[in-house]
Amino acid sequence: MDLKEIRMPEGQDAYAPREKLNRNVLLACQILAGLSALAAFMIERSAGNEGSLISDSALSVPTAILLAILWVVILPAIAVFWHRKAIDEQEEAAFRDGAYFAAYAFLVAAPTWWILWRGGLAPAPDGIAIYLLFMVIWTLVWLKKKYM
Amino acid sequence: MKNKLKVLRAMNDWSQAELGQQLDVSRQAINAIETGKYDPSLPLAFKIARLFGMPIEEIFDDGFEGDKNA
Repeated sequence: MDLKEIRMPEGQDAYAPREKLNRNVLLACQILAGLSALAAFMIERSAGNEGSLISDSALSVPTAILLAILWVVILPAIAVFWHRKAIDEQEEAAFRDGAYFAAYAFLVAAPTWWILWRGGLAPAPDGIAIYLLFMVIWTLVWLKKKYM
Repeated sequence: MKNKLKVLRAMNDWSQAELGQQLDVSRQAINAIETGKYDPSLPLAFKIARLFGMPIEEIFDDGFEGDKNA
């Protein structure tokens, strides 16, 4: 077969359909996150709460329900769609590798911190700090494997 | 795994993005395959082979040097 016979379709941009969908899903997620944060901020403001959303300060019931629904219902639904329809297999592998490293970081860091705390060598374990460590490692490995 | 994807792509004057469009994967995926950082799945390898009209083993080399008739 003459390889020159295979030609690119003309008049189209050079993004695979999955890649376009991937970008659109990520953009939609950013918009959703922004709108949710704005809604939560407005609800908290009307309830007289001045604390930051990213803190341990008390939240009003509507904000707590809104954010919980976002995390438990919307996020998994988007994640399932994103994995099945939007990302290609190389990104799927990068994402999986990130989860693998993050899981080991959690496996090592959480009990170590707990043991050191019990021995009086560290402050009490902070669940949010461990969660953030998990997410940062996952994200860094994912980005490295996808782009580098 | 070594492969000839970069050579085959160059023979067609395609960019990584253009090849990715044909295979419905990202430019980053093509780059990772070409540089040997990522080995494609069997379905994607077949898709690549079909696109270039070549057998998979002529594109991908797993380094096996044994008796190929065995």
